[in-house]
Amino acid sequence: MNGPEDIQRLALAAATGDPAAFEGLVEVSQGLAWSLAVRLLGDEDEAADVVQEAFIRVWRHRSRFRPETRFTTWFYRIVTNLAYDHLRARSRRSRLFARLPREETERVPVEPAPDDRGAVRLAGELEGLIEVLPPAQRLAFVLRDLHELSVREVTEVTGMPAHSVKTNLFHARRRLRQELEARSGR
Amino acid sequence: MRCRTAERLLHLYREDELDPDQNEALARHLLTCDVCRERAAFIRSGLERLESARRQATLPEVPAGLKESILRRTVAQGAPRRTARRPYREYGLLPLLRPVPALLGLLLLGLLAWQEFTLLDRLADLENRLEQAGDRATVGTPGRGLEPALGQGLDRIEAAVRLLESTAPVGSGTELVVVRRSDLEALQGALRRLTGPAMTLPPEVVRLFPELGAVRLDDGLDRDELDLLLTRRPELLHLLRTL
Repeated sequence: MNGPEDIQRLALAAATGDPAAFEGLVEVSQGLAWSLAVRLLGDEDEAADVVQEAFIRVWRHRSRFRPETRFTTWFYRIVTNLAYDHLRARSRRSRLFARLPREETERVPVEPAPDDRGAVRLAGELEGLIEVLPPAQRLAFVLRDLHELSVREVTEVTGMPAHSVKTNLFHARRRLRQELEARSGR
Repeated sequence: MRCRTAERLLHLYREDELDPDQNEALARHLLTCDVCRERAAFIRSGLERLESARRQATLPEVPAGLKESILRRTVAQGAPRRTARRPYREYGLLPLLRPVPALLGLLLLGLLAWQEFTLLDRLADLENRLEQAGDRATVGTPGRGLEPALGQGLDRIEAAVRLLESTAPVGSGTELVVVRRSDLEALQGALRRLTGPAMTLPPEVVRLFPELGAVRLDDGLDRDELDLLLTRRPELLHLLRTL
């Protein structure tokens, strides 16, 4: 059982502090969280941190969950926020603090090299392509095109206005299309 | 319709991305513009390829042990761990004396930690409020956190948070970053690199934050997008000035 109603039922039971329901909820929603985090971050280790932190937040703030809220939307938002924070921290570290003294910048993690352990690539032609997208575009593309959320759901999850979602989608698709064309032209 | 708008709309091809008016306007434009018609065929073939790649993308496999690790850190922590007590006789008179130094130590620790915990609570509260306001926000120097010793700046940060809460969420990517004074120069430099001379920290910010600087920025955008955002969202600049 892992239809939307079942997930919602488990979430409501977990919200009352039922450990068995929470375990069931982890079971049925860890795949969703994992695929979203990996696709957004492109790194297994970071994705595992994000997924764990997301479930910890769900458990810790379970009393805040309201029956009228769809659990998957709420959960998508938590995972997305955490992954987005990782992405932004990564890009901020490499951009904003480029001028810091050496001892500060030496600790700044860089984008994983292609052969880094834990680096994950998507199957098919999208392999490696998503990583070229800036965070906001990556978010819009992954949620909309890979996780099949509607534009409205993407706005609910990300907090972006619909026009920003569409703008980011446009930029992401154009960039990916151009990358695909460049690859096939090689 | 301008050709640039047409190109944008050609990329928004899936259901619920275009309203009927836009669809109609695009169709009309393609009827009259040879360049866009040619471009449309080119873009569509590229998008079909992207669609096909998208359909082939497989879900990454969940690593073994992830669920167990999550449960260990959540529900399993709810059960208090019990350790077997040794009988009192093994300690002699020690158990009778133990509560006195323990109480004194606790009092001392409590006094020392009181202010720090209060500050940490306030910081956590501010971060929660920012999160609930719908803006992704970091209170603290990125990557290092805000030390409790900077507590004298909290009132100002709180004022900034109140301001954030009272403005409509700007949406994804908008962020309040509070940085140490020593990092201001690096941040200014980064802003200049991002935006050119058009955007630097306004003097009001520096004046109101004598030991801290504050700026709200979006580093998920490229320079063109940021320029566009600043021209379209004057409240960002307003916020910068108000801070």
